[in-house]
Amino acid sequence: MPHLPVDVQALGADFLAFSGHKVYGPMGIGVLYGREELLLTMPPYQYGGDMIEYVEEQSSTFADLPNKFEAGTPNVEGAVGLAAALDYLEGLGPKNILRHELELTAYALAELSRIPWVTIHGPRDTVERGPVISFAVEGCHPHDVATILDCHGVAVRAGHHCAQPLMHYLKAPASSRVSFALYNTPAEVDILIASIYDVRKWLGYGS
Amino acid sequence: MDLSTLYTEIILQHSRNSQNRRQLPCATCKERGHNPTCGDDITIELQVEDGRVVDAAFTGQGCAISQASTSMMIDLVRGKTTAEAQQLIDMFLAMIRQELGSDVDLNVLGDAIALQGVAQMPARVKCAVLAWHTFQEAIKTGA
Repeated sequence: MPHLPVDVQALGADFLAFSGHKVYGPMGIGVLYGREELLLTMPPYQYGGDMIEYVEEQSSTFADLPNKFEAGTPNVEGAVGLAAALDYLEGLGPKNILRHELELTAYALAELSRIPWVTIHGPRDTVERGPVISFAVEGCHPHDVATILDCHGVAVRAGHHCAQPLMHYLKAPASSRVSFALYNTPAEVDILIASIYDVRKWLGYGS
Repeated sequence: MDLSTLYTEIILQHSRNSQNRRQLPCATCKERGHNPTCGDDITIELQVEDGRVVDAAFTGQGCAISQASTSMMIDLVRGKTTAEAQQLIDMFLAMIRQELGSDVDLNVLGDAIALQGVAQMPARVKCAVLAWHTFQEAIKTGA
């Protein structure tokens, strides 16, 4: 989410979780899908308001799904914001979003491939990759790359990306990673490429 | 943030061509410092005799800021007593936290004064302070 269409039925998923902020919704909310037959057998993980049915002195029964798992004061504004974000994405069409993102990815891959001192981690095409590209700039640590790109208005992530074993395998201290979303444009890819040349200049490599 | 205040000639020199990047055959203490979230990883070796840092050196890898900062710190503490070094380290850390008054003479920090601008970049503070904290650990445990 939101880059690939996800169908929990087709996947046969028992559970599926995703974060609100990854689908352009608010932070602090997300979605946890669970197969109904599994959820019915599970006890509440938290007690509080609105999750009970009958309460006796020595026993109680719990509300039906989904209330059984939604104890206490709900994050209403988060839920409303998340629903609006999902409606927005649905209106644009997940396939259209993916096509746009992969066009940008293909363009950026082509441009990055032409720079001799840039190494692209992973495949050079968009068949087996989503709209993200991890890369290395020879002689420049990813954190310096990120700081300098930031000053050019380009936000990338730099670091281990929660994948330290992979970094060991790549023999990289860390990597820089650019990701594309529905609001990015080819002109912004051009700014990224020009800024990467500037990174080398700032770090004393000429161009 | 103006990049020219951060990626200065002096910082690039220290990060890429430091004389302090070597192993110390007569080291009396050694401490590894690591920023797990970003991968800066340095080892500082010290030769401390009679409470004085006779020599110091480092090995490791990381971003330009962390490597330059380590080299600058080593220049600064070499020849100082551990107490003097500690004072300078406190001063450097206070500079990065922007806790120093305008009357404080930062020139005693030597080349490390070039890292003043890092105070404006919260994401890079941990790169700049790594070596200084590592030195503190080294003399706490080793000297």
